[in-house]
Amino acid sequence: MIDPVFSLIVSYAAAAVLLHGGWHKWQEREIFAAALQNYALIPEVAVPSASNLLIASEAAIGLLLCVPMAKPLAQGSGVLLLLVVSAAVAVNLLRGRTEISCGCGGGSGDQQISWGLILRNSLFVLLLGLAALPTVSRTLISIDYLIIGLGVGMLAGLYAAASQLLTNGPRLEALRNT
Amino acid sequence: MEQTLTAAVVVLAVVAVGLVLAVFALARQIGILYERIAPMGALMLDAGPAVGDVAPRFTLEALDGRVVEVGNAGPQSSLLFFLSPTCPVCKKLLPILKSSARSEQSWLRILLASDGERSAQEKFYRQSKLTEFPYVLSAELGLAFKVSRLPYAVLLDDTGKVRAKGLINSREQLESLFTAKDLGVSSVQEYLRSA
Repeated sequence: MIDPVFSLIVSYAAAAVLLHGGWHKWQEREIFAAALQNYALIPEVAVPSASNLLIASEAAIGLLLCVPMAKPLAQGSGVLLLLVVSAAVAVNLLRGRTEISCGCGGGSGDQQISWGLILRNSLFVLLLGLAALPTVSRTLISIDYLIIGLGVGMLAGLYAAASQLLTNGPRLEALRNT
Repeated sequence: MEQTLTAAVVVLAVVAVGLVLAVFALARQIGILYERIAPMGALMLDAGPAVGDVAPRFTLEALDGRVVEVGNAGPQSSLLFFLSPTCPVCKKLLPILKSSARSEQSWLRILLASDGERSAQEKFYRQSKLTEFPYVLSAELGLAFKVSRLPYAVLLDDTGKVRAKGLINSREQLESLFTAKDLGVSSVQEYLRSA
C-alpha cells in the first residue's frame, strides 16, 4: 500500500513528460519519422503510420494519466510504451549504431541514443510501476495538493536535467577526442 | 508539532524544486558551451574557406556517373548541400531543396554531397527521388569545407568564390544564404548589424 500523494505525483509528472514529448514530436513529425526510420526496425512503408501511432499513443497516455478512472490503464500502457522504445534503443546500441538520433523531441537539441537513455527510461518505468500499486484510502488535505504540485515540478525538472545531460554526453566525448 | 513538520516539509520541497531547476539550468548552459566550443566551431561560420575566398576545386564523379566540377568558374552559382541518409533534419529539407532548385534555376545549380557506404547512399538517392541533383560521395570535399554538422550548405558564386555558408535547419536559413549573396554580405546577421 502506498500513499496516494506519491501515486499522484508520479502520474502527473509522467503525464507532463509524455504530453511535452508528444507535442514536440508532432510539431517536428517529419524529423521524428526520419529518426524512427534510422532505428531500422520496421519496414520503410510502415514508418509514417508507425510514427503517427507512437506520437498519438504518447499523447493519449499522457492525457489518460490525468483522468482518475483511467489511471491503471494509462500506467500500464505507459510502462509498455517505455519498454518498447527502450528495447528499440537497446537493439540499435547492440548493433553498434550509437550515432543515431534518439528522436526524443524536445528542447534539449539532438540527443543521441545511449545506455544512459535506457537507464533514464528504466527509472521512469520503475516509478510508474510503484505508482500503480494499491493506495491507502485517505482524504487529501490542502498541504497534500501543495506537495503534489511541488513534487511534479521536481520529477519533471529531474527528467529535463537528465535529458540535457544525455544530450551533452556525446558532445563532451567529441571535445575529449580532439 | 504538526505545524512545525508541515512548515519544514513545505520549505524542503520548495528548496528541492529550486535545486532541480538550478541543476537543469546548469546542464543546459554546459550543453550550450559544448556546442560553442565544438572542434570545428559547429555554429560558427569561421571554419573552412571564408566568405569571399576562392573555394578549393574538385572534380568528382556523381552516383549517376555525371562528372561534377566544384569551385570552377561557370555560368551559374552552385549550392553545395552536405547531407547524409541518417540525418533526420536533412530529410525534412529535401522537398525544400527541390522547390528551391525549381524557383532558383535561372542562376543556381544544386549539388548534393555526402560520404559513407555507397550502397546505402544509392538506395537513399533512389528512394528520396533525388535523381534531378548530382550526388557526390567524397570525404575530401567535406574536409575541405570543414563540415562538422549536417545539414550544411555552402553557396559558391559563378567565379568559384564562397558567398555564404552555414548549418541549415529550415527553409528560412536556406533562403538566407541566397539573400546574403544578393546583398553582397557574408550573412544576414552581418547585414542587420551594418544597417
